[in-house]
Order: sequence, then C-alpha cells, then structure tokens
Amino acid sequence: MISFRFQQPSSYDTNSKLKAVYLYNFTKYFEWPENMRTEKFIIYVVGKNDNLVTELKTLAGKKKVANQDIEIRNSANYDASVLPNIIYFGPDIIKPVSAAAAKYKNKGALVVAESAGACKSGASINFVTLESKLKFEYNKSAAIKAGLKTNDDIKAIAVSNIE
Amino acid sequence: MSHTNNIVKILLLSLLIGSAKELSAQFETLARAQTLLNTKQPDKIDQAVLAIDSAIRHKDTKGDFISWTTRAFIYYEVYKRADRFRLNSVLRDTIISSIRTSDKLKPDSTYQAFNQKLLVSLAQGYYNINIKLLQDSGDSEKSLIAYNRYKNLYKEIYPKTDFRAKDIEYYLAVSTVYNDKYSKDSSEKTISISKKAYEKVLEIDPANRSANLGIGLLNYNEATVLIRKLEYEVELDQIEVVQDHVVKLAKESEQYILKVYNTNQKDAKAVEALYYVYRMLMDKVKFEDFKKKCSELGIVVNEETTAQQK
Repeated sequence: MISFRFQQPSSYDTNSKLKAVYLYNFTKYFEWPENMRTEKFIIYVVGKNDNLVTELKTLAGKKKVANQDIEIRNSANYDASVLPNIIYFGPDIIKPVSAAAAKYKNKGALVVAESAGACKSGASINFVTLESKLKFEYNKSAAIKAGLKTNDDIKAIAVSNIE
Repeated sequence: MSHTNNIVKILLLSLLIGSAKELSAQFETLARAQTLLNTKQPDKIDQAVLAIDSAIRHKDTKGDFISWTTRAFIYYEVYKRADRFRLNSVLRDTIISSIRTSDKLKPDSTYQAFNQKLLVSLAQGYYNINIKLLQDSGDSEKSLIAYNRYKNLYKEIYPKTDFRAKDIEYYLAVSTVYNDKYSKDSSEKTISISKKAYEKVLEIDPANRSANLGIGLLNYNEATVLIRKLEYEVELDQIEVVQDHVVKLAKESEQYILKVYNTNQKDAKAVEALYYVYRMLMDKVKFEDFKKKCSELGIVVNEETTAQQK
C-alpha cells in the first residue's frame, strides 16, 4: 500500500500577513499632509519581526499608496531621525510610543502599536487580540494631533475608540 | 501467480486420471482445453477459450464442475494478459461467474480449493487496482470501488476476516495522496476528500495518531491558505469574516492534535503542530509554552517576533 505521510505544518506566519493587510488598509482611512505625499510612502517597523518585514516588502513590491511607492524600513530600536508615513511598534514596545507621538505631532505619521494602553500613550492605532483574532483600537484625537485627516468610517471597524 | 500455474497442472492431471474410462467427444474437448491452458501460450489459450466455451454448453460437460473451474482458469490467463488493471472487466466477471457455477455443482475439496485460490487472486487484483488508481490518477471514487470489491470477494472466501486494519491502511493512503494533491492545488474538493478519509479512520479507531494528527494539520494548513490568499486591499470588515473561519479551523485543529499530545507529550510532530496552531490563535501563553517544548525536543520552528525595546 502507499506509505502514509503527514502534511508538514505550514510555517507561514499568518499574523504577519494580517498585520500587513491591516497596515495597508489603514492608508484608505487617513489623508497625509501634502509634504508626506511627494516621495516614497514609508512604513517603519520598530522591533525584530522578520516575518512582518518580509510580508511588507512583498506588499511594497505589488502595491502603491495612491501614486507613492512603498518603502519598508526596520530597526530593532526606535530611530527618531526617521520620518515615516506609518510607524509600527512591535508587541510590547511601549516606552518609545509616547516619544514618537510627541515627535511626530503635526508631521503626518500614523503611530501604530501593539501594547496594552498604547492608544492612551499617543498611538493612533493599537493592535489587540480578541477571541483569537487580530483587531485594533483607535484614537482619533491622536491621529488628528499627528496632522492626519481622518475618516470616521474607521471608528465603526475599530474594536474600541479611545479618546 | 505461481500458485495458479501449479493449479493448472493439477487440473490437467486430475482430468487425465479421470480419463481412464472412455471419454466422450465433449470430455475430449475439455481435456484439449486443459492441455491448451497448460501451454500458457497466448494463441493456444485463445483456442482453449473456444474449446471450453463449447464444453460448458454441451449436455455431457455443462453440469461438471471441472468444466467450469477449467473455464475460470482459462479466462484467468486471458484476463492476466489484457484486463488485470481494469476496474470493470467482462473477463473477470466471466471468471467469477464460472467459479460460482462450479461451486453450485458441489465440487470436491480439490476443486473447491482451486476455486477459492482463484477468487483470492482476483480479490488481490482488485486491491492492486485500487493502489494503481490512487497512485496514478488519484481517483478516490474508483479506488474505493476497487477496494470494496476486493473486500467483498475476500469475504466470500473468508467471511470472518477483520478488515479494520486494512481499512485504516486504505483510508490513510487516500489521505496521503490527497494531501500531496492539496499542497499543489489548494482546492476545497481535494481537502474535503482527504478529511473524509481521516474521518473514516477515526470512525474505526478514534485514537488513531496518524488520523488525528493528519486531520489536525489539514485544518491548520487550510486556515493558513485562507490567510495567504487574502488580498492586501480587502476591506477591513472582510478580514473579520476570514479570521472567523481561520479561528474555527485552528480550534478544530487544536482538538485533534491535543488528543495525540495528551497521549504522548514528547510527540515531536504534535508539539510542533501545536506551536503553530497557538501562534495562529494568538494565544501568547500557550504559544510560548510550546515554543519552549519545541526547543527542548530540538525542533526548529519559524519564529514571529522578539521585541528588542520595551
């Protein structure tokens, strides 16, 4: 008889794909200031997450934000000299979130984090896990402070809205 | 089929012993058919077919089990040449009906044994066809027909045969073939055949390691494919729908794999699979726990994130 073989479990990181899809989708709900729409659309990942960076690079190779090409940057620690369109702080990176929110005030950078209480520390969006699913909290005031024009449709999709 | 060759020689011998009395013309035809059969040469076998078909129609020989068993053996030679890998074969049907007629004529123990051995060979033939259908064309429906015919024929001879182990082997083979197919086509039809095969195994043996792990991995990998196929520009509310489906599959997967893990907590395959399942379910505590267990068992896994800066 044919000898039995198992399937291998896929090592594909589904969470990174979901985050990449979310990050790209957020671009539909915000309008960046004019000066942030002229060169490349920079998504800056803070923290070591090779799978997410790879996923975002795949995205950057296929998609644009309006007419802007997407560029992915990554560093283990927060580098304040980078001025991104979106900055994503990896899980449990909380300390630099408030510094980044202050630094990017009116500069047009969407601060996305993944830590408890990040929206209260100045992040516009905070990824949370609810019932084994990736969802997000939204802080509209933080987005406005960052110099972004907002679309309230995102409030309906957010799991909670934090002011 | 060397045993069938020996049987053919014995058939001839038994007829020659019987020929001590004067043979009628039809008994001579029958003897001729057996002599031709014994040559094993295709052209002679074709002549044997004509001779035996004449013998089984004649009043002197049609009621003799020897005629019908001889006919079965002659047709078996033609069948081996032309039809042995055909699921549906008129030649095979002729052999079986000849054996059944011989059996109705109450053959002696020698001929009864001949008939049984020929049926076993035909049953084995169906088994070989089922494997060939799975391997060559991946046709699970036809393969199942062949497999069931194998069992039915075999049961005619050995009614008390316990097929549970064989059934498990068969359904695991089906799942293996369809798993390979799924890794290439990611089709729902393919995965559903594989899942049904695993479910059949679990009906027979609910604790079967291969089936529990297999179906668990299948569910997990199906969930992975759903996320992999997700378009970057999908609407945010659609992500929710996909995630609902993914979580359902991952939780099903967890239940099957846990059955294996709870039996043997050092089962590397189960430990590795649970690491990935808990990563998919975003269960940080269990994910970290199984990451540690993987490391203890020397399993290298794809890691997600290490926060550098707090």
